[in-house]
Amino acid sequence: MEKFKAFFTKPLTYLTVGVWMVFALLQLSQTTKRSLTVTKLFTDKSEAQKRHLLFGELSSTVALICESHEDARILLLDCPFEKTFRLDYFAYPRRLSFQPSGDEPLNTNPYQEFDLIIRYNSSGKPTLTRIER
Amino acid sequence: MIDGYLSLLWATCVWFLVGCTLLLSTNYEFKDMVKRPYLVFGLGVGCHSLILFIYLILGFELTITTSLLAALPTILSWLIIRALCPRRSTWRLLRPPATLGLDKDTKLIKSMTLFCQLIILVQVVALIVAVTYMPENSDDGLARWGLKAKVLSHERSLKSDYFIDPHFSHSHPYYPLMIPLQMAHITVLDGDFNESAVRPLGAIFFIFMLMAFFDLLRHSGPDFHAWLFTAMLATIPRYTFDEGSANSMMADVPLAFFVLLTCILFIALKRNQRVGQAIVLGLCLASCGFTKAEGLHYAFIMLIAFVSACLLADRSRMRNYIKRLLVVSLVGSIALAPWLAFKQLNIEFEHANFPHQLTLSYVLAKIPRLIFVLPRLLLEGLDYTRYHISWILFYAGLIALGIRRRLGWTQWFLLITLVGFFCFYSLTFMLSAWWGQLDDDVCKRLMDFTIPRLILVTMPLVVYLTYLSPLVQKTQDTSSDSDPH
Repeated sequence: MEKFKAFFTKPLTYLTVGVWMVFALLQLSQTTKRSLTVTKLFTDKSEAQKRHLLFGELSSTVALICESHEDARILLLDCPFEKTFRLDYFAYPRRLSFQPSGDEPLNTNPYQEFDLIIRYNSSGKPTLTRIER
Repeated sequence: MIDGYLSLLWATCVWFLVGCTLLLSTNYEFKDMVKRPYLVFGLGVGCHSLILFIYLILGFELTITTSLLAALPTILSWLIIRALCPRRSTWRLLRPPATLGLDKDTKLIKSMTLFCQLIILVQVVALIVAVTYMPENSDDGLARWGLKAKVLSHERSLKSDYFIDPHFSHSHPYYPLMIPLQMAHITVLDGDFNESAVRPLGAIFFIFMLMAFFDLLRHSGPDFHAWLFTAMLATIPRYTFDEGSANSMMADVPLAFFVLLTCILFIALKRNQRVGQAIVLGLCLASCGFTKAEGLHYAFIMLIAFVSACLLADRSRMRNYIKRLLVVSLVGSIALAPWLAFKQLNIEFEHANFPHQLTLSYVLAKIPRLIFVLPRLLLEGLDYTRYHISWILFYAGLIALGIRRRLGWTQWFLLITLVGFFCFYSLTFMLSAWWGQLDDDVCKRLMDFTIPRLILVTMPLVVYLTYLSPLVQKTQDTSSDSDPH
């Protein structure tokens, strides 16, 4: 019985370790590849450029405005709830202002007090309006 | 403006100072401390966070001075204890067993060991490169943990509207504050939040977790096995890239580290019931609870698993164990009480107090959810793109354990802990409500992005139980009292 067990145990152990080694090498090549890509993409880039590469125009614009204006005010129009998650991080300590759908401000130049207006259309795509002060 | 990485180095020195003086207060052997930096680090981060949090509750601002003064209580306790009782017997965490039954290091074993070492090294280097060059990219890392850290770095106090402002409720202000506090602690020298300085925190926890795992295994069997299984843990793809991995500003990898450290301390307590050991374990349990909300549940589950394993496998010293567990529970409760009180008294979001809204009819109505929750949880591990063959080996190990039937204390402890974790996950998904809007479809989506992160925490225990299974261990005694000491 012991001989029978040993006959199967050894090849099975080699097979298991061999299969793991294949996975380990795959993982190794993947992590190395990803790290090299990251290095290639982000070396010699400013924080703003890195953000633009990773998050696209919306988040990077919010971050840039917040960095350049200490009292920056940003208005989100018709913004879906989950879209504010990342923007809150980039905007902090400035607060994002919300304007719910169909509730336009009444004064003649309604958006004058804001630095950036982000309006989401019905399909959830944002458009940016940057107001120079 | 001090460079971010210098701030990280400064913060690390403070953690080691706290951890070192605290261990010396419990009369830990100094020489052994040098060999186990993961223990000093873990205890240092945990206690520093808990002390810093008390300072903030008392109204102090988060500054360089408070950050440094957080080391004062542990330094004082060490000096006082040393003055009062100069000669006490020391203790240490793990002792090697008298006979390990070492295999001969053949050429094949030597080259395999080298392969495993290289694999670990490349994984760690690749991770460090990624966290150094890449900005934070995970949703939760930015919207929850990062935002909290920014609030603490900017306002430097707990008297912030953030904890009561419904606008920020999406970032869960009731989540424990250890990681955000430590991120703020790192950036305290820079004056404001510095993302590049705090990003490596997850990777640091990952490296110390591998060290702890290797140390645990090295004291249980041949070095080659320790290297092989540590490399297996290190190459789990889910640990290096993705939401909740060591490459993000999230608390999952730190919690995995604390759960592993707590597990090691429980195993050590089983062998040697020193008061100092019980105090350290109590603080580690509190650290679990202060890292992530589910950490508190993990702490309870591990306490129950310890008692159950003793009842099943070793009742001889039950009275001693109970005495020490009382110390553990008392220390853990006292250490975590400030956070629990703060959460209860200051943070009032409806969804934060969901357990209070549970009714019997609600629970009964949600039981059918188990039909899709249980298979999803049990089959998650078979996704080899996330966990390679670790879960397949684990299931094979469980079958082998079932065939052998005679389980040792450590195996019982790990098995009950893992079953407890899975029962907890099942219950959580069964009952989750999310502002009352979570129907079955949303629950399935929630599971898709939450389960892999929850599983990350259990991985060191899963791999360790596989290691203790008859698949790897040749003889029965490896399980019961070849406990790693």
